[in-house]
Amino acid sequence: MNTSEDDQRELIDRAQAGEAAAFERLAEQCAVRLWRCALALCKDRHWAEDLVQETLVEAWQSLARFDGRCELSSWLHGILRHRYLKGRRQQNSARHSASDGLDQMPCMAHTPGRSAEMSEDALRIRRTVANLPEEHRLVVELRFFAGATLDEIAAVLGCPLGTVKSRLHHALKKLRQMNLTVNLFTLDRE
Amino acid sequence: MSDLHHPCEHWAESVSLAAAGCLPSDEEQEVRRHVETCSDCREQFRQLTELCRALAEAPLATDSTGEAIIERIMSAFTADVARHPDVRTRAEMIHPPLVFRSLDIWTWIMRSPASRLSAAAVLLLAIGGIATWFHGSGATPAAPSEPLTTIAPIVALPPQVVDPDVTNEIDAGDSSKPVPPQSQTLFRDEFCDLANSRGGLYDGKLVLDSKRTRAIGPFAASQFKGRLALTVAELSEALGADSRPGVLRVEWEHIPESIDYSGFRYQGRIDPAQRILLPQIMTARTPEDFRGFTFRAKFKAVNKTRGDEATIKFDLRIEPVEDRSYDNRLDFGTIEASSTWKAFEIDLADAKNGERFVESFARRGSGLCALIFAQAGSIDDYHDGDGLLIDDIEILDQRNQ
Repeated sequence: MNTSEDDQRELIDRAQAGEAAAFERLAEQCAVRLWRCALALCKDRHWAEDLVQETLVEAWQSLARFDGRCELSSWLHGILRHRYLKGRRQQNSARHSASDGLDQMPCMAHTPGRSAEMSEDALRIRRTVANLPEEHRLVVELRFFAGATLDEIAAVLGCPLGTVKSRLHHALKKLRQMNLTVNLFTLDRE
Repeated sequence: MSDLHHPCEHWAESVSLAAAGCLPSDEEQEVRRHVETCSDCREQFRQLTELCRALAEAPLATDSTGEAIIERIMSAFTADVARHPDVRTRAEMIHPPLVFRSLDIWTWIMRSPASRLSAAAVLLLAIGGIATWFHGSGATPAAPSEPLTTIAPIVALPPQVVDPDVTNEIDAGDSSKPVPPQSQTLFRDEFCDLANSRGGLYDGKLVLDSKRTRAIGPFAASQFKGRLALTVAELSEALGADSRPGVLRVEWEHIPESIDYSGFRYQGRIDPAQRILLPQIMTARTPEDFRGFTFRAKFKAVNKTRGDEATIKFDLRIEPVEDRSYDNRLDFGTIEASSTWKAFEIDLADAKNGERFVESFARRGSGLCALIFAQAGSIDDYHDGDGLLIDDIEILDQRNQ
């Protein structure tokens, strides 16, 4: 039941003409990925929920600005990034903290209350990912845990596509090395 | 772990991206052709593909809880769109109306403290001048512009005596009772304009049909044993209680061994402007203020294997669209439907948990609601394929009768 590109283009046209139901269908298609990306960014389910809702409302209100030069989902992910950074700034100013940006985020694997939901393998993988350097960890979480495309990741992180590709490549290389270490350690114990 | 040998270094990133499923098909084919001819790259690709598969499977456990969140996000978004239904056109965004451009310039000018002082003085003079003008001429100032959504206030809610025997029961006789002319329809769905669509919740995965015309979706506890399939079908040609085509069907297609709760949430048509929005009951202060607001619907139980013996019990309630919506439900109780069409009617004042429902409306300031058809009691009482046909949902304001 996936919507084809033509169907999506038609939905976008109808939405830009003011048909709310058409935009709602488009939003439904992206909502899951947006929410997972938001969760990867902010690590807080309630905040992630608010971020996605704010993103969709802002997108609806400024839909006329969407010119089709990128995928609609990438455009939405760009809005999500702006909403997230705005929220961070508000939080930071409330705490009188000068720090800002994506480098302050706690790891998804350490979110309280999640451990019970995941299998041991999934937990081990999450912990391994959590040990990656920040810029690599985020790309891996957004790609594999949030299911985002490279274009969407670039929009969320606000960096060029080439940078995302390079980070993903190096992250996988590091993970492969870390994973191998874990596997050898497991074998030693056995 | 050795890196790729020197001649293949330029393939390294492409191999990683191909394993991660991030390359367009033509580039991926190119990588695959290369790895077929190079044993080192082939091994790298194999290991990376395994790693990527493990990574992709890591978050699956959270999917079922995510669905409820997505549903809440979409409901909240829909509520917002219902309040602000207009999207600005491209021309309006590039060339905003004069008043907005003037406001932008005004904001820029007001950054200076000197400007603020000057402006305050000018404003005082202007207010004085306008007041004198009004006083002298007797003119009436223009009314403020209308808000986007007009909320009709409840002026008076005189309590009325309603025969309790006719409420909270299924009674086929009521279906033919004509609606008196002075009753006002707050919401009505006769399901005459359905598309043939089908979607549902299959073992925790939500599948939505893009053709669907109604905002209805299944929900279920994330923890369950066995197989679970909850389906929603718009049957555009099936005859309804009114003998006209168009019926909504919800079905417990596959029943798990155990599950705490499951059901279906109906919010009206897909079009956000045609959702169950009840601003008329927002100003109620007590449940008794609902007296005269009537909910009606027609139901029929279906099960392919049980035929005329099909029956189904379900809990029926209205919930506000918000977090913890169950706690603030307006509870109509447990209904039992059989294999013949029957009508259900209840005065909202007779529903349970009205106090919490009223508080919720007062707190939220939104009249957006959902109608819930939920599993009644234990899932052990259900059979695979137990379904419910729904037709002619109405919410009426009959206070003036």
